[in-house]
Amino acid sequence: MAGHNPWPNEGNTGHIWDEDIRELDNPPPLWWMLAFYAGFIMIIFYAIYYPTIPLANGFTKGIAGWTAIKEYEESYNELKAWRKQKFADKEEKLASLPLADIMKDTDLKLYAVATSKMLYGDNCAACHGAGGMGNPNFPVLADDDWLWGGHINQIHASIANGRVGNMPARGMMGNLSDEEIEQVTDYVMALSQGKGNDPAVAAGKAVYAKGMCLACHGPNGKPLAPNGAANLTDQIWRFVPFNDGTCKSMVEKTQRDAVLRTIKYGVNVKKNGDLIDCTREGAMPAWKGRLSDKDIKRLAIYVHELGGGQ
Amino acid sequence: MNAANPQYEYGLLKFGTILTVILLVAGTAIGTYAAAQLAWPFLNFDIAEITFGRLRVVHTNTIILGFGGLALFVTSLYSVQRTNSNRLWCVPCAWLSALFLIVSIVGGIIGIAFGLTQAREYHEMEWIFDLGVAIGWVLWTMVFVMTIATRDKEKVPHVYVSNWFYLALLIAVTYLFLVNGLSIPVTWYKSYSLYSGVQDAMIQWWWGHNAVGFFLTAGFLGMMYYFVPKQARRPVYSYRLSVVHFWALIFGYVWLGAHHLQYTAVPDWTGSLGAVISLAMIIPSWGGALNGMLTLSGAWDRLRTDYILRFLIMALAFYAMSTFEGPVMSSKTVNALSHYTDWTIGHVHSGALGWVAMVAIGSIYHMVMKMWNTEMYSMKLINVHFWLATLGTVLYIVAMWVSGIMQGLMWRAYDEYGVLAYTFAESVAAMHPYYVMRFMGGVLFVAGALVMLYNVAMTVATAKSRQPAVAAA
Repeated sequence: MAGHNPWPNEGNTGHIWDEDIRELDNPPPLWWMLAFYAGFIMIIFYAIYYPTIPLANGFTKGIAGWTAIKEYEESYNELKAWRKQKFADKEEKLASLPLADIMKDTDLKLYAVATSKMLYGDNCAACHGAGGMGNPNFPVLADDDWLWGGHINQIHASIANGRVGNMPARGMMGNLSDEEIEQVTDYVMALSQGKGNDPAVAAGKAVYAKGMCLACHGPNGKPLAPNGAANLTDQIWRFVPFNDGTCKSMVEKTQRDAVLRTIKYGVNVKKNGDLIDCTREGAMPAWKGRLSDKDIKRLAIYVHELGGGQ
Repeated sequence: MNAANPQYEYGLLKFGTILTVILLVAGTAIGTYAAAQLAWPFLNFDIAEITFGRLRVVHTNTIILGFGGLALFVTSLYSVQRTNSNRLWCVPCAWLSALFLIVSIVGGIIGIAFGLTQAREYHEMEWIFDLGVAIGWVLWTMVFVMTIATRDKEKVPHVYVSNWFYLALLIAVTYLFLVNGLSIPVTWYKSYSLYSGVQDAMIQWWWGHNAVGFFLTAGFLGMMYYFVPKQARRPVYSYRLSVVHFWALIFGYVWLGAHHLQYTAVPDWTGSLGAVISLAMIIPSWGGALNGMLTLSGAWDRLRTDYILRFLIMALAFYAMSTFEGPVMSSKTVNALSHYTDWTIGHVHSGALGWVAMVAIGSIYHMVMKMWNTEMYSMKLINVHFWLATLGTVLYIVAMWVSGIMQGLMWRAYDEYGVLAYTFAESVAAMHPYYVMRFMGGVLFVAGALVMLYNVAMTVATAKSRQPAVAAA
């Protein structure tokens, strides 16, 4: 096919492939060529301006004096300086005053709440939900039902030091039979509806005493003082049916199943260092060391002001 | 000569073409399901194998290596025969190559679903599958090179430009893939990379960007250079332009990797170098787009009637757009906003759906008609496919532009107290409508792919019973 050109007048190069593929002998468009050279010339200017070229020992620094970390630090310092100028007195008070005093200073309290949104959102919301609305098996923070107390100092202690729930399996002595567990479960369900004295659950009430449940949950299902034990006389459940596949011995379908599981397997019950199957996990990490003391105070105020602080 | 000329080997290519279309449907459907999971997370049903983290990787591998790789394989071996007027060198070698590639890639993808991964982006499959891909790849390279080398040099004295690009793909990916894949196997399905830390990141993105540069660009430009002039029946606009932009791209692409690592622990000069060469690549990239588009000068009216040409030209438009967008995103100022956001995902898809898939789709329609020597079962359905694919792509990338820029702005926004204004979770929640929109874009694209599969299947099934499109000439 070389030598034979069926399209002699279209300005092709004379090369023909696969019967009809050919190329014209056009030069690249002028604007394109100019832009092409400009692109490569730009590399030179860019390399003079920014650190770009590796050398045997290090690299060219560029006349702009730019480094990534410097760019970051400069803009961060600018923000810090602005914050300092505007809020230094408030930040100072937040750091030095005791919580009780901060709570009396409405202005300061509102400032602490306003600056805690990110802290809460990035550190707490994953478990306790946006705005403290809670998640299945993670306590609601926006109501007045507190496991460890709703006073500002108690909330602060919970955040700073963390909390680890603990409830023995099968009663305090670990000796409740399956039948007794069924009975005491019925009693706990009745308690939540205000029917703890119903004769139908008398047997369960006896087990409640025998298992020494009252030591933590109180004689009438309501803890005498905050100790981590749930109030059993309302319908706010610490643990709801939660089949995530980790509990192999039983399936929870109803709230009664969930209560029975908690009584039977306890909370954070360990054997030989490992959690036993189906035991509840209830632990809040300690934030001391992970967040600054000032930020922990800030968060305590934020949580207190979510609605349920006492 | 005509398409039925026994001179050319089509058996393997026919098989490969149909598999390519099936992989297009599978890969985009998996991607769309993964997109649905981002909008409605319950859709993973707590099954580890289909959770987003694995499904996304299954999707990228099915599309890039599976669909993209096979599309390159069949189009390269189709066009290398025709542009060299030479039958495929060692047909059994080509079959063996296909076997290695397909088995290893499919095996690797299934492995990924079951958690076997090297955790290197776009190079996830474990070493044993890697090795199979490498063997298949080298065999493919050998068949390709030898088909050119054994041509009748009297009859075909020059090597056509599409072959340069395919050669660049084959050679560059061989060493990129091998170097990035160097690892120490500890079991049949587990290996540890030779690299660690900053070196690891640099090598990984040297490969990662060239999976885009050589695999998804150079290879597909080869495809463009054969199928656009062939389908348009017009001469390529400028031979000189193809020479200049070819060498500029080949020189430039290998330097770009570090623009994926701006503002990280790698030395500052690497990011600058990656960014500035990226910017200098805009014009060379546009050289390819120009050369393809200007091939139509004097024949633009063809676009009204030739639906296959529509795919090819739309692909070039998306190519020009994404090769502008990419360098802009690699510059420091824009990267500081766009990095880690959905904008990156949008950019990748304007390339992958708009450019890679569309140019491959157009080429496949062309090849199906030639190899089975018939018109398509339905030309109208090609047009339906074109609009589904175009609208799907546009919907997808617009959703990701908006969500990506919004994400970037939300992450850096401060309130009146100088505290970050939005939590990360709030930025995730704000993405929801765009994730739904992206999913709908995906649905349209998959619907188009299904239309194509149906059309191709019907064409193949009825090829013999219908009149040949072109009389032997």
